[in-house]
Amino acid sequence: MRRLPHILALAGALLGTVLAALSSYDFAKHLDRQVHALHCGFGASGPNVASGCKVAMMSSYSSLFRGAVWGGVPVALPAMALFAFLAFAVVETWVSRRDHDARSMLLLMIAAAVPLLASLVMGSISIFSLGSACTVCIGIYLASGLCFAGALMLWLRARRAPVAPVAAQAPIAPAAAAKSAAPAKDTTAIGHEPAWVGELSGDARDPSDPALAPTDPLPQVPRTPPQQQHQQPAAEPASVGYLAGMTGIAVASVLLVVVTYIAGSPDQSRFAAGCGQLESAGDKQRVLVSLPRDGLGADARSAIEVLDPLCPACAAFEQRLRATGFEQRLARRVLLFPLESGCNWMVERTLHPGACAISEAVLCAGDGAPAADVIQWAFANQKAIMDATRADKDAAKRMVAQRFPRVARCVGTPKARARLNRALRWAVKNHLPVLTPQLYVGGVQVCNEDLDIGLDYTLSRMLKRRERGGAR
Amino acid sequence: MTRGIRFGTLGVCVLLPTLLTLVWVRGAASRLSAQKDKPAASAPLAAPSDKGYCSPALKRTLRRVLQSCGLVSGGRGCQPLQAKTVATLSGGDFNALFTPMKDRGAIVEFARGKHDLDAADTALVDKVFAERKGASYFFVVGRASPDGQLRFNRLLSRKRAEAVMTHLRQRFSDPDLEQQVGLLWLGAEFAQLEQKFCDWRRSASDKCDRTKLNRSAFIAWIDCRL
Repeated sequence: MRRLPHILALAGALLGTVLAALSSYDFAKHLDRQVHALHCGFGASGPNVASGCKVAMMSSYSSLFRGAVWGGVPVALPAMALFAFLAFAVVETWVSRRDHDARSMLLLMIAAAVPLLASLVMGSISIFSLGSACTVCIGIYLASGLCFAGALMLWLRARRAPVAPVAAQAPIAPAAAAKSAAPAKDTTAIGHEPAWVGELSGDARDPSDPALAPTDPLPQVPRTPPQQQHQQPAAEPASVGYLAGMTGIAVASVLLVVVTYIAGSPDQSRFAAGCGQLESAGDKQRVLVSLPRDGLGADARSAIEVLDPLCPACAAFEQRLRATGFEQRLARRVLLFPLESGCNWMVERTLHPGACAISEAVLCAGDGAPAADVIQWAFANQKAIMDATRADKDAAKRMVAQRFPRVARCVGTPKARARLNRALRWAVKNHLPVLTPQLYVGGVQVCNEDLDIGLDYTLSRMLKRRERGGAR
Repeated sequence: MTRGIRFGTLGVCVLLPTLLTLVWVRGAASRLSAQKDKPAASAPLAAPSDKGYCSPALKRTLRRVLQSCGLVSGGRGCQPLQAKTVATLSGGDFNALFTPMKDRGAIVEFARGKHDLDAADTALVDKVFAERKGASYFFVVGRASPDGQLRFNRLLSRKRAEAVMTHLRQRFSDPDLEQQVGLLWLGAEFAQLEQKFCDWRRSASDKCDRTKLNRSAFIAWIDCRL
């Protein structure tokens, strides 16, 4: 039990290191712009678990400096370095007997508080903002808690302990023993020392008392609690230099992995030139739906987003785009591309039942806020709409009509269907890939690989490039 | 010994994460550069539909009809005799071309000697036209029953085909309509519809017979890429 705090702190640090390493590895794999499986679940499996990890990884919260580094620096990377440092710090203080030194343990506790605080923040974001759980992340949160709990216990214990426990010292003269016991008496006043400290103080009540003169050395040996009699000699209290050195190692180990990551990452700037161009970007048939332009900057660029209102990737993309802040620099129009075979002959089997009806509703709603409202509602209710439409093919139409009565008479009419068909034919005319989402800025396609973690990096460069080129 | 443990732990805990990071990012970089030499596996591109019934023979005939009837090269409509010539088919074979399009077409029936569309007719035209999906061409084939004179029937069948076209223009205001819709009028002298076409969707609800069936405009989407 005496070693429980060490074990907790070390186990938490090691577990955190391994899990943060897994998470960092998952993230770093994606630097090759391919799709990879994620380490997700520890025995748990299924689409929800996998999608939770995917949502967490693709979210803007998973990495830092996304505008400067493709994908950003994964948050898990400094976490890995910090956990590894904590593992080192626990072993170091243990081996060097500094686990009795309150200052060393305070430093350990502060270092352990960093991943704990980060876990609290990230956990809150997962629950309240992303609405999904990532099992590796939960493991990291638990590891942070374990490590902090261990560090806290170590610090509390060190605060109660004398700086250099008397019984642990080499044989000393009674007077010296009395002197060394004196500080413990002082601490009694603030009531922090364990019961055995009082006993130790009692022995040293009055060192000048002749009754206690060192006539016989044996009775003069101060009584110490049984557990302290087994303690190993403690090191000197940590010096400021030692503490500064440990802090420096912590900072350096974090910086080292971050700098290594940034310096070693593949160059992605060549992809910011885009992946092709629209062949016929005109819209004389008015098949593109304009999104609201309130708050758009004067330098806003024309952008076309190809989406399916029931496509989860499109909803996630919308969130990512919002998080980048570039939404206000793009005058966006939407090309509806429902992945449902009922209206879209380019998909062999329906992926999103109800997408045709919802797409018609967007067209019926009209440009600006009305269309955006339908899209946002569809994004928020994708699963319910698709599940209902699987059971009843008219459910999507009914649901959208119920929520937006203004479009009820339009959805399903030949005119609405023909307009949606023209939208799909616009995709044919431009030889667009059959997938959603897609984004075109000034007619140039943002590479599909750049639509998730690389979005900030690529968009910032594409917009800068177009500003320099002066083209709209 | 203690010193060894301390420095060993420091080395492992500080250097191992850095080494791992380096291995991961360089691995991704080398995979990325290796991909440049491989053709990218990309999503299929959006394209018009091309159904299995679009045999080379059908496409050849369609191309001839479309070119001769102005759809591809400009202009509008085919005279019956032209249609007969360019199709280089018998009337039965010409009709057989449309047989696979049963679910993609319909027959708009007119009253005797009339060419105006009633509500049922326009509803059927709207419905079929809105079911375009990936089809590239919409055929409107005007016909007349053999009751009247040859010239009258030719004119009547033309008016029937044009009535459908006029409705489409008004209803859908599609600027590409002229490039999509192929008009043919056959009078009563070529490719009269046979009884089997009574199974197709019709605008009239009364009993189907061959005479009524040919007082019509036949409409269908062609899901062939030419």
